[in-house]
Formats: sequence, structure tokens, C-alpha cells
Amino acid sequence: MRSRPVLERAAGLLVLLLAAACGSVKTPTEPPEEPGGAAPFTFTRIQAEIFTPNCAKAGCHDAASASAGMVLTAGRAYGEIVGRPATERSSMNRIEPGDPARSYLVKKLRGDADITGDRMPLDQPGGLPQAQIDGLIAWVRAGAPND
Amino acid sequence: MYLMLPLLLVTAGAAAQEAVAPDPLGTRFIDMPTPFTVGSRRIELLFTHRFQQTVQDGDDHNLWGLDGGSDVGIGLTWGATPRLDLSLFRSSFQENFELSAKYRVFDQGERMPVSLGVRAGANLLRREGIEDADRPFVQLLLARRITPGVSVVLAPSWVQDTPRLRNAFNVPAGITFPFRKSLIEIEWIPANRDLDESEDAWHVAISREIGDHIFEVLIGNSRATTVDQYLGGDFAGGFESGDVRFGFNLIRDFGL
Repeated sequence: MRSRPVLERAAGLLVLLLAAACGSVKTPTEPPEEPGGAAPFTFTRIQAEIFTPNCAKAGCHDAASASAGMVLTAGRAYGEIVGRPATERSSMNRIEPGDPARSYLVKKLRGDADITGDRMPLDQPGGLPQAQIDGLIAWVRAGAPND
Repeated sequence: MYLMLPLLLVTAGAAAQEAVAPDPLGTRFIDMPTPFTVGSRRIELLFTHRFQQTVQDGDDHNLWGLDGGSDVGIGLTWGATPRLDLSLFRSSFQENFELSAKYRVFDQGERMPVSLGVRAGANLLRREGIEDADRPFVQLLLARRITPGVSVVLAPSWVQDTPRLRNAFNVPAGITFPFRKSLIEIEWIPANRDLDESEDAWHVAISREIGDHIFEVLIGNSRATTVDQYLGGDFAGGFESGDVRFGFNLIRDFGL
């Protein structure tokens, strides 16, 4: 006959949970509008200064390795990243033209808190030089042209 | 502060040392907990594995995602008393440590329509740069066995923070069906009503006990395995309702 008090206690706990149920949406932390004053990068410059020396290497994102299904060699990189879904997060594109905050490759290079796996490039734990990251962000914000 | 409720549960559990029978449902459904405990002087080891790439983004060259990366979880549960479990689970996603205590309040019986448990703890995220990295939670765990092999589980839950919500509440639900010597488990975590972008999370698993092991092979859309990540339908790794990913759980019980 002790079941009723126990049930009453359980119901009370449920009421407490329901009372705490007034959830609210947090204000997201927006990325800065201007990327630190870095000069705009063209895609040719991004390929030459970022992808080719840092990413398109054996065991990483050359054609033979294609880690995460992505090749970043010259001539292939643009088609592999712009408007293509990220392997680690299919709800986002690797590069979403005009929207750095929705570009997973940007998040991986910045080492954002919500990425899966490690910050890129793997062999540079501190990440790329900030000027290069800012330049790539500016290129994305400009619409990610194949220039 | 987050440890106060588990300490209270430890105190309560120390007063209840009678033996309780393990339940075929186990201590964990797919991601949500059940009301049941490991049992006194037993430990349970848990491995979770969630492949990151979706089946639809994969092909035969990468075995539809099986060649890709995964989120790995390792957990240990200790049966402090017959009705009290203390657990530590660590997910590789955002280095998420989930500390919890679960108290099995009562079991389904002639006068009791459901089994009931209470679980409290906190998710402690250790990846740098994460806001609100300490996230306490409380869960009420209800299970009703309808016929042998057919059970329904509900877990009304609150967590202080999810990736995008403050004070999130949700009611994960699950149902099992017998299938030969196995169980089919279906788990559903509704989209959170407080967040427009929230998505329903679903998983279907086939679960089989062999020896002291439970093997669960599953498909589902979300990779979330911790309370703070699955309660808001806003898993920080992202997912959509139509995603399909492979995964598995491996659970092993040991007597001390």
C-alpha cells in the first residue's frame, strides 16, 4: 500500500520537470562582419597559398588519399568544396557562397567548437596564419567566385 | 553543486539494499536510459559508435559511410546498491563527459503500472571554446512492459543547456518488439518545441544478448549520444530528419 505516496512523489518530480520546461533560444555568437582587414583572396591565390602547400598532400587531401572524400588538388578543389555537402556534417556545405558561418570548411580551419574531429590542417595545431583564414572568409563572403 | 543530487541518491540508495532482478530491457535503450540498474556489485562497460557520414552521402567506394570517421563513446557504470548506479560516460564529440547517478525507485507490479527511475547528473564539455560547457540534467525514467519483449519507455528530461537552448525539456520515447532471439528497439526524440530549427531524432536498433554482452546494431539520423546533445534536437554536429547513419552499441556486464 506504499505505492500511492511513491506515485505522488513521482508525479511531483514530473511537475518540477515541466515547470522547468520553459526553454529559450540562446543568442548565437555571430562571426565578425569584416575579416580583420585582410586583402581579398582570389580562388587561384587560395589554391596556391593554402590548399596546395597545406592540404593536397599524401595522406591528406591529394587524389589518392581523399580524406573525408575531398580532394584539394589544383583543378579539382573548387568543384569539391563549393556547394558540396560536408562529409562530417551533411546539413552544411563545405563552402556556402556568401555565408562563411554556414561553410564547414571555414569552421574546420578556424577550429570552431562545434566541428567534428580536429582543426585543419592536422600538422599545424595552431591553424593557418590568421591572414590566410581571413582571406578565405572574405572570398566566401564575396560569393566564392572561381577566379 | 551538480553532484548534490547524485549524493542524495547515494544516501537514499544506501537505505535500499534488497536484491532486485535485472530487466531484459537493460540499463540503456539506444541513447536514452531506462529505469533499470546494473545491480549491486556489478559494473557495466559501454561502447558507442556513430558513423559521421550519412548513407546517402556515401557510395560503394566508402561503404556508404563505414570507411569514414565516427564519434566514439566509452562508459562505465557501477552498481553501488541494487537500485543505484553511478556512471561516467565520455563521448569523443566535443570531449563530452557525462557524470550521472540513477536510482531505480520502484518496479512494475500488480499495484504499479510502470517501473520508475530517476537520473541526475551533468555533461561537462572539455573542448575549448564551447559556451555553457557544464550542463546539469535531470531525467524521470518510466517503463511499462506490455507483454514479454514489448515494452514502452519514456524519459521526461530537463537539461540546463543544449547547443542552442537554455532550459530545454523534452520527452524521449522508445518501444521494443521481440524478433526471434533479439529485440527490435525504436527510439524517438521529438523536435524541441522551443527551437524552430530543431529536428526529430530517430533510431532503430536490433539488440541481442550473447553471454554477458549486448550487441546493438543501429541506424538513425543523429549522432548525439549525450543528454545535452540529444534533448534539443540541435546536435552541434548537425543532422536532418532524413539522414541515415550506421552505428552500434556494445555493452558488457561484469560481476565484482
